Amino acid sequence: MITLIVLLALALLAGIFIWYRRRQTARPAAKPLPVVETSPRKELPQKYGKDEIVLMVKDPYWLYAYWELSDAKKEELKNRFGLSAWEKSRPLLRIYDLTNNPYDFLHAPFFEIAITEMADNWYIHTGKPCSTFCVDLGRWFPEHGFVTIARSNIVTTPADRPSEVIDPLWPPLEACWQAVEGYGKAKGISSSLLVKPEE
Amino acid sequence: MPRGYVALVLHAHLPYVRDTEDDFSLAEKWFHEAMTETYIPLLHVCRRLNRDGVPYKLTLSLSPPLTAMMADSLVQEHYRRYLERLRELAAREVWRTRNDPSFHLVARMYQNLFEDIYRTYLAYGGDLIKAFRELQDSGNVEIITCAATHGYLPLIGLQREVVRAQVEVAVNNHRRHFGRPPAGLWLPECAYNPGDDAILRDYGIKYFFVDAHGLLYATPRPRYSIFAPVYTPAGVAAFGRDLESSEQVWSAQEGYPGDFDYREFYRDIGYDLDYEYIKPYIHPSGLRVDTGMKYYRITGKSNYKEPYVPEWASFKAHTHAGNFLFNREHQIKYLSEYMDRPPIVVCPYDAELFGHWWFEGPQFLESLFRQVAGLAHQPFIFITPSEYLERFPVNQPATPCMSSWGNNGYNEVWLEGSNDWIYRHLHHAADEMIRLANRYHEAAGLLLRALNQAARELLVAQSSDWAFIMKTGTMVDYAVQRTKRHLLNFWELAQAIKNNDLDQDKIQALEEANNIFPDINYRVFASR
Repeated sequence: MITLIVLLALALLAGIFIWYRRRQTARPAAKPLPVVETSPRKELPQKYGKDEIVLMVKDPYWLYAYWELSDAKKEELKNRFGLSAWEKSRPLLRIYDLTNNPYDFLHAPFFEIAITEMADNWYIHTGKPCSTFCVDLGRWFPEHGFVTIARSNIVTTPADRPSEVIDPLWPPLEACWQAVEGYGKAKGISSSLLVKPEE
Repeated sequence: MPRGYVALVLHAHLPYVRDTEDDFSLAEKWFHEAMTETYIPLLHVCRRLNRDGVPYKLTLSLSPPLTAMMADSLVQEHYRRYLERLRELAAREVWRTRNDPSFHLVARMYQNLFEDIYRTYLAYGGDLIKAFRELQDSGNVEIITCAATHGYLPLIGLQREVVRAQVEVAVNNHRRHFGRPPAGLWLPECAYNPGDDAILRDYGIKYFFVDAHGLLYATPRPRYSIFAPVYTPAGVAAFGRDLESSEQVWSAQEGYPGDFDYREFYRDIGYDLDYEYIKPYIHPSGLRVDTGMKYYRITGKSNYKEPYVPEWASFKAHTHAGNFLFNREHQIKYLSEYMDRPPIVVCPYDAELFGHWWFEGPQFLESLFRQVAGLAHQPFIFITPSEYLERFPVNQPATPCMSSWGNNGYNEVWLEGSNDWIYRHLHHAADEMIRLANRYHEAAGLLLRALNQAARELLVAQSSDWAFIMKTGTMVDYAVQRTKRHLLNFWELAQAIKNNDLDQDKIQALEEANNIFPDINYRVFASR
């Protein structure tokens, strides 16, 4: 008898549940909300166990760098500069302009950016098109000065105006250049997805 | 010799949005809409021109993810069902609007359009690749390829192996579908990175396109600015996008597609009609979405909209084609007076602009080709880049500058606060893939399958579309989840390979979920 009551109660609950679900789905959604599959259980690693800094070009004036340092590297620094090496030093990016001194880090002009301990990426303003850069991730020690921990790849920023270099066999034709004056460059064209943009 | 040349180039691309789990995936709907509104209507335009013997030349870039979806039987089946629902809706609409002459006319227009599309689709057994191959063989359309998954090469190409893999997979895919190697390659987002041309050359690519400033800021300064290609250091021709013609079509304010007689994109019956009536044709969750049936014309700048009049819109498309022709004629006449060779005006557009965003776009193209063919004098002729290079094999050597056709012309759309986080992960995964490809020279059996699947997951993660969606702010979660999912799948496979712990069921499940490039070989990532 008891089992019968329990079964009846369960059936009733299930019925209410199904009715409720139906009612829910029958309601129109006014605004298009993207339907996305359930998020994956795992997340991408925050670190890959490397000591590296990678440099990328954003535009003629800006670079972007991301980096990571392993715990082993921190230990190594402590062994070299003392137990409080990390606390006593400050993190820095040193940006070398190698344009006129290819691969000559000793003579290349550079500038530095003080970064925060937590940062793992940075947009770097150079303001210099057609220039070649390399970035050192390092720390500044009161007694030792700048110590490089990782050195980036080398990148070159693009031009932002016509070249001064003229090939004598192909001297520019004034008419062809006048014909393109007054037109701005790319105005946000992109291989458009069919994603509906905001009106 | 004609006074000058015009090269019309359409770039057709969608990310790989095949969905095995969801029959009504909103992302796969992009593919359905683009098929109905752009790809098949363009096919119809070309077939009509062929039938009538109209001379024309068109360069069409079909991206590998797009061709992979067109060739996939599951995607074909999903699209057929979509089209059948759409036909049913059109039939109901013809009935519903029977007492309203202006809407009825538009409903009938859609019904005819969808029926035509359905007939074509069935005639090819759902395999549009066959239709495009026929077009290619007719000699008027040059089909070219794009990078394998539309990877943004200047940002993902930190390792040369990655650029090589994107190019090699694309070229192989193209050869498999179209029976010949591609003569040209559309760089995704027109994004050029000096040095990538050497890899294009290695795979027999003869030309690519850059945005105007890519050529204008080349070194040394190009003699003809953008009106002739240059040869890059690797000997590949780079054609520059014309500014004047692109502004006429693209510009939201002054461009043709904004004409008040053209169809209004943002008024769709999926949003406008009674919920109970439209329910079977929107998302099963009740989410209102575009159905593709839109009854209004742009009318004006306010929200007030008048019914669409197909005849007026066709007339405008014809007028705009005439205006485009007139402007190119004058542009070329002016240039040819000063140039010691005929100028070439290169007009590349997103294919999806024609038909999807600009409903009358295919009519515009057809009218343009017909009007030029009908002129007694020959102001210019349409040409493909391949034919141009055959006629003018001597070109100035120069290095185009790093550039793209995105906002402000460089990399900022795909490298900014919303999407910069992906590159760390993409680069590390690529590093790992290269290591695996170098370590396993001749894998077989399950190991081969795992390595090939790892390559697929990485390639799909590299699509520029995810970064672009993150930046645009619509469906961001989808793009984030796709990026993460493919990278996590990649690492799971890489881990299993390294630990020699391969699970056949797991690999098979991944293969079924992401089956792009069935004949891929992971060795495309090997260093050479």
